[in-house]
Amino acid sequence: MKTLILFIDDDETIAVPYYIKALEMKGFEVKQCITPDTALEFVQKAKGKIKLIILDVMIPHGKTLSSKETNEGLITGILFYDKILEFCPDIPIIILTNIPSVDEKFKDFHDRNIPVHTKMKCKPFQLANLVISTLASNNKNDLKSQSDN
Amino acid sequence: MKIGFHTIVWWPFKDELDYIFEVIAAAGFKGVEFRHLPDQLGKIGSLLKLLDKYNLELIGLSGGSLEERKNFCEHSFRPKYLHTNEWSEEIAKLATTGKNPFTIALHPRIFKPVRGIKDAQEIFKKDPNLKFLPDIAHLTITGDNPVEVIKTYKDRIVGVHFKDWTSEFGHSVHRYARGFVELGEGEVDLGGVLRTLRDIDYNGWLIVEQDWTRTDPAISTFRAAKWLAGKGLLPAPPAKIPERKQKRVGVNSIYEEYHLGGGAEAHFLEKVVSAGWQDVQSCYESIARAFVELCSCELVGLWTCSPANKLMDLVAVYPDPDIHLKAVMDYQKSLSGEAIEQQRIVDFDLTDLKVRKQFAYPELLTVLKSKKMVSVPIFNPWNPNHVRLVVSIFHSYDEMPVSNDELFYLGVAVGHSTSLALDEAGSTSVAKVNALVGGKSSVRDFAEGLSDIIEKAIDCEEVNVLLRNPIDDKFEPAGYKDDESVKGLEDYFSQFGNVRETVITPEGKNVAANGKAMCMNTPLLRSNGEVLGWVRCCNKHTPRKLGTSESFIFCDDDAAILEAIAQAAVPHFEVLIAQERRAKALGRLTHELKAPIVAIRGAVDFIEYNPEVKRLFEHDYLGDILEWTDLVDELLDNLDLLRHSLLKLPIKAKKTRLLADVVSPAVKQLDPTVRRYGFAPSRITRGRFEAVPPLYIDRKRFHQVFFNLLSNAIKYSYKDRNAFRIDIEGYFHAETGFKIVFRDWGKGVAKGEEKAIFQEGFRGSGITEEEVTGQGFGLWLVQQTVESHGGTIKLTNNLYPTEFTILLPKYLKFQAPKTQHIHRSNVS
Repeated sequence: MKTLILFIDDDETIAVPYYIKALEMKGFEVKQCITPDTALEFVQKAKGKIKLIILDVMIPHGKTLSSKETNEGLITGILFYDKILEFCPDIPIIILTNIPSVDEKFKDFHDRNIPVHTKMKCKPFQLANLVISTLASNNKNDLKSQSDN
Repeated sequence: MKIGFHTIVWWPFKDELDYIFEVIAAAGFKGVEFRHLPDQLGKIGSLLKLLDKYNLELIGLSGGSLEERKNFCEHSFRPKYLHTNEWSEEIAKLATTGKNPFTIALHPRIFKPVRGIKDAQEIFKKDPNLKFLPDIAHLTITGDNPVEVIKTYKDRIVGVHFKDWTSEFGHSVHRYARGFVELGEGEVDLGGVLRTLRDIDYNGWLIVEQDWTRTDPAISTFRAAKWLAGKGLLPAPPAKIPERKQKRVGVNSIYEEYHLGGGAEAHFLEKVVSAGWQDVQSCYESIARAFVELCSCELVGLWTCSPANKLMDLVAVYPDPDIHLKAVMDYQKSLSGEAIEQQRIVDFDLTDLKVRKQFAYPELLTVLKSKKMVSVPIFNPWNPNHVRLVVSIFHSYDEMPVSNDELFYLGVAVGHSTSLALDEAGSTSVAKVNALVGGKSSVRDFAEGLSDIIEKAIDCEEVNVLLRNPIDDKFEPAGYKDDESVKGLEDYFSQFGNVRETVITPEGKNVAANGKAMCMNTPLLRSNGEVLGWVRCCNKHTPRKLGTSESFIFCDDDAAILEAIAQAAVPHFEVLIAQERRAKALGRLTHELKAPIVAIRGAVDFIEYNPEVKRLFEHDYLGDILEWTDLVDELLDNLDLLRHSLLKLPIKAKKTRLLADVVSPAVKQLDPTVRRYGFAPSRITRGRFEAVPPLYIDRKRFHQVFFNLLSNAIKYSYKDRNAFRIDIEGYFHAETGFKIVFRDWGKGVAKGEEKAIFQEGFRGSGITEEEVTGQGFGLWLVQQTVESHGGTIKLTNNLYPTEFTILLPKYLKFQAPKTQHIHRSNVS
């Protein structure tokens, strides 16, 4: 059975198809959701099956978050990050965005040591490799915590 | 048409009737309309005799109640009209019935109950016989056209108040009166009005009514006559103004020095003016104290008034009676309020049970030994129709050590003092508003800082700033706070439309106003009169020392300070809102532009990943594609980050050879572009830069500087391979530092645009549509980068060649720039 990745990004036609193709070529199954609402719906339905989430920042706010909170969609992903964690605290989340990582929007993420990857620096197969290494590291931690218990 | 003069400008010298008439007559006027209260004019018979001495007619009376004025006129005299600021059926009945019926003329003003021609029209419908006294300045302030109003209602007009006004001080009820100026100095269409009156064959009275003056009222009277003489309406007044027979010491106007002579007034001024009030509250306290000392009385209370809801607020009392005083009272029921209603000094006998029953502070009366109370109204110095404060003096004398006349003039001095304090408080707050913007990059931050300033300035509990959303035309909180107390306000403020005044209201039931009654709402007015938003203040609290925790009302002084703050804040809001909109648009633009670049890199990634496909491509092409996408990415990064107001783009300085590491790579990168235009790359020459050592600069940013300069030079060249030429040279100058000169032989920069070309989004006037590409940030970015390194860039020649000169400081040879970020200018 293929490992399921959830890709939350509203770009369905330009760049994201390359990322999805690269992930599929590496043997992953990828589900794309374009708003927080559909993403949450999918997470609740497929909880347990999702092994990793890739999250864009500038996506429509949907009903889950308001236009005002997200500054009309410009920071939806930043606010949505913690919301997803409430539903799936153990699933690793990779932030993948076009916004430069030095932007002050990511100050909180930097303070929390959450890496922000920019699409310009992370080409499709680089992302696929990043996903592989993140999952491997996560599995190791899972095994470690199981053995500690 | 006959020309008369109004005594309102003589208000501080109201008792000098003989002199007033002498001056008015000497100036050439034929009649007088009185601001004086009837009991300030003596008997009607004596008044008419005095007027007769100077050949003047009594036109009308505007001070005091209508009934008082009617009674004053007795049976033998009928004024041309009696002016009224309001109308009701009772008023109409009063005018037309009884032994002495008279004509009433409606006089719309800036404030209610009859504001402008709109309110007057409704009244005219009810009373077809009602006459009209248009005031052309008030009509101008309320946005009406006095010329059209006169034409429309010509059959009702019995008199015209002729005066000028400037909008310099704003339109609100609290400040507008400062704008009354001498004829010809303001914005009222005086010429249009005169032409219209001539066209309609008007033969009634034209009364010059100057509400206040910056100088001696005698001088103002003569200046008005001179202006009218210039229009052929009066003979030229004599050069010499009649002199006063009696020397008068006192206050002329707020702009003139106080003439201190002897007497109670001088002593008072010394106490009050020298007190050095920091703000309006400390002014009130020093006034109360000064009155106690001056009158040797037991207690003095100072009340402010709110015209919106006829409530009075005790703001200072000295000495503190140490009892619980009720915070707010309806002044129609209180004795002090009578001074407002009557607009004169009123004496009350506190031993009289009937009087004591009216008194709203029975506890105070039991504590005091006072047998009498004197209420002194204090007027807005620029508007004698407007009572701003009331002083209540409690004493036990049969006769006060200070006479009522002296009290009157003290009231004038107090009016000026409080206005000075108000100006001081207002300008201090305005300075804080202007300083606030320096550290604020967002509308929300600015609004929060503004709220703090307002809360302290007028001592209120809660301040909300709401701005109009242009999409749905509703008012929303500035910022994205989920604030319960502002829920439901979106539509509430829409009802006020384009009001230009502070509104003091109890909020509607459907609006959460945290349970307390009173809110003050002031519009944020753009220079074109459009309402940008509202500032809403709730629940003014008293100073604790008066021992009460109840809410207090807002008074005119609070409103005046708030309005000054609001006026100062508007331009800053406009800039911040425009910036935020632009930043959002730019953020979206860069986001959208990056998607195809990422797709290109994704395609390159797939090619590189597939060896069979890769073999078909030369490696250089793939490398070039990646380099180009890197460059565009950096440009978009710069735009994306620099949309913020404050420092954003970090400078990573390292030792850099200008020619080898920066200039030459930029030239090389544009090589394909140059060839595409049909130019020879050899036409771009570089000097040797020998004297320029490696400098500590941000290599990437400077690469961008030259990339941008070169791009522009190519873009705006004449498309002629022989004309195309670019020259870049570097020097060292012992005094000025390192100099780089960039020259091109293209279309140049128009005269007058030498500085403008560095502004964001600027398009040169000589640029054609086909040449327009990009967002107009190129040179702006160049300047930001150079200046962040401590340098300068200037256009040192406009054409043949177009020459840019960059100067970099000498210290860059040894150390990195002093700033750590490339920044944009602050909001100014």
